[in-house]
Amino acid sequence: MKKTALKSAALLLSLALAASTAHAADPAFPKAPSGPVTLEVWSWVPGLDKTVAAFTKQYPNIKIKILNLGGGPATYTKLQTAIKAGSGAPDVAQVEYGFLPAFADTGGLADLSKYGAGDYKKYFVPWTWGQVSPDGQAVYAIPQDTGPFAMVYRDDLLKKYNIAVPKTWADYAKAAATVKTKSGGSVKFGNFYSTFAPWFMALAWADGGQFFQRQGDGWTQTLNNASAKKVLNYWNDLIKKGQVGTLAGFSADYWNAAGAGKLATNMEAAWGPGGYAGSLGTKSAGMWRAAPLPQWTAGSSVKSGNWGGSSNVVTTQSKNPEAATLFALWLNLSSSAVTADWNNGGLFPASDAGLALPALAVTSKNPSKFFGGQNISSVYAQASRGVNVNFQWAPWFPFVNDNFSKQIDKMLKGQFTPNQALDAWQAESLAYAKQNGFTVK
Amino acid sequence: MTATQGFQEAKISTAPTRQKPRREGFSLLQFALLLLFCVYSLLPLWWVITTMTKDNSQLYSTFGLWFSSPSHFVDNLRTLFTRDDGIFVRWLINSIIYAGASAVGSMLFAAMGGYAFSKFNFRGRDSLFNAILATIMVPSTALALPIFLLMQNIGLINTYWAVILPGLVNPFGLYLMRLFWDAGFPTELMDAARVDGASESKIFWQLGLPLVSGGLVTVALFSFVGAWNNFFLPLVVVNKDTLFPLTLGLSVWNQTSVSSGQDPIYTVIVLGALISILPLIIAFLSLGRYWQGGLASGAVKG
Repeated sequence: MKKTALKSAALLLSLALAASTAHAADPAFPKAPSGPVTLEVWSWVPGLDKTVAAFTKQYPNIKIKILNLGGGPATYTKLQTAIKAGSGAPDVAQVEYGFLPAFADTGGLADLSKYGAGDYKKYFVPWTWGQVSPDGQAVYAIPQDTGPFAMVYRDDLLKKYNIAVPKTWADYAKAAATVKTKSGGSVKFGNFYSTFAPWFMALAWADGGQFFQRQGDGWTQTLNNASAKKVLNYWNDLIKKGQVGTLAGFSADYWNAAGAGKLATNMEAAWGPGGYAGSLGTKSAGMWRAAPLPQWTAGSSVKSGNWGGSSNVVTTQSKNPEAATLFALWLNLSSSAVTADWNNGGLFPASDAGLALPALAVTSKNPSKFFGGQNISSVYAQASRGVNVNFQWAPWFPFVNDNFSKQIDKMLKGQFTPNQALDAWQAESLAYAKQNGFTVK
Repeated sequence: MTATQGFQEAKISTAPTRQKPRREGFSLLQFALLLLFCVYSLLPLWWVITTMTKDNSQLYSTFGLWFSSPSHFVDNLRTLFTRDDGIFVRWLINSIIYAGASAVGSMLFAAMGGYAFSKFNFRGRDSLFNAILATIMVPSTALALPIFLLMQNIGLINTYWAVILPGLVNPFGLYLMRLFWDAGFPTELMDAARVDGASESKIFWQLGLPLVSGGLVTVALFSFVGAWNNFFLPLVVVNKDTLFPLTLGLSVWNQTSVSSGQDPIYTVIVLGALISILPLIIAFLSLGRYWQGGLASGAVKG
């Protein structure tokens, strides 16, 4: 009897706690529709069905149907088909930032500023809003998750070679040379992901590099901007000296090297550490740490770029765009949803309040646990606040993305200098954009 | 069959006086080459089999072509059949339904269509047949959007029919069946049956079909494999994971592992992929005999 009473008291307490944490910091959301509404949502966020249960509790009028296609090209093909066909598209869909302009260009995305989304700009980290509303007027999506850049490193290796955590790129180059000498070349100090354009672009982004700019109905493309040239020349130099490797990301070779202590550092997005914990398992567990991205100028505030992350769009085919907007806002601003998405899928929040959520700071669970119990989320939160706000993508980005590997391959084979590779990247992408009817300079 | 016989005849006729040692040397080289090719072809399959016995971190850290631990195999098997409330079984059943319906249905339609083209003379027969032949050249990807719109308009989107109905159309099968009817069922035989008073349906079902069974099996196998491996059509026309076939379901799991990086289940997916090709292997081993014979007999007359 006593036991049961105690149990129910505890249950009540935990319910009250849950309720208070769920609503404490949440902004006031738009009004819910008066009649029953069903929203179809296409998203690859793990465990979204459970997250959404809290939503339907709060808004019993709105039923949510989820389709998870896992993300990637197939998901976009399906969405593109439905948009082109003029029917069959979901109310809400998950789209990565880099692909937003391509979808916005089809006319299939609703302008959420019409449904009051503009009022919620203040709740998001500024650069994320720049991604969903490039011109500051139309709002094409609600930011969901992000991948600000920081440096992950092997604490044991840096200690072994007696190196301080590099704060600038000059320090980084020096450390790379030291490690090569001391290890006889068996340990690479870093790794250049030669097939990931967004990885490279994030590094240039951190230096204020601009690759695309919309101007009225036309565009300016500057893939060979000064920051890009600086970054690529810097890395090519380290690669040629044999201090930095060029293993393909997410490959068996890469994980082998990372797990076996053949790699001392790498630049990774906020979602990267979760992948390290998942793919390396017990190998090198507890030996990794995270630190802010090295800077070009000593003593400057931390500047960073972003790789990956996604947003939630509402399609023009939605019959309930207000309810869909409400859902997209709730999903990315309510502390219960943001917490669940972090716990279930490692989604690093785009909202300001999200970065300060207690769940992110838990160090007894992965990814922080794998990183020796360091609160790595705080490193990445600092990085996110340092991401340059003005950074745009273009509708033909998928081509730019693929073309990058081709030019970098030529650079690695010595057929191109870094500048030539960037110039070729710029020229071929420009030709493609023009062929496809864009007005580009 | 024909090709092999021809080859043997040629070998015998060009080298009738050759003695045993030379011929053994020749076959040893042949054997070595075939063995090499066999190993080359089976190596990926071998990797799939060894990978079943690993967990995700061993996938990267252990030797790719050897086994790790039977307990991981059991774990992988359990995860495969229990993840997302055991939806893998549902996908397996769906694949069997899609491929089975497609095989049986397209076999019947191809047999009937081929019969009509082979045995009946009607106006516009040749141009119609050529038009059907031309559709073989249309890539299925190009048809996805029209099929999507069609299914949407007749209200069959997001149902089993949306995947099954397009799978029933097999222009190549119809072409093949026409060849089989031409070669395997002489018009004289049909005329004789008519004289004996057999009805048209009896001639087709009871007299004709058994004579072209090789063709039927060939068409059914082709359709089965095509539908079993189809990814794009179900991707476009189905919006519920309970309607996914194996190809789509496993790809979603794989993409989720790639996209989120959390809790990747690559070795489970590999095991799922292996299980998904078992029905194809069984189908080929059990029906391959008919299939080979069928292809050849069609080829001779064609």
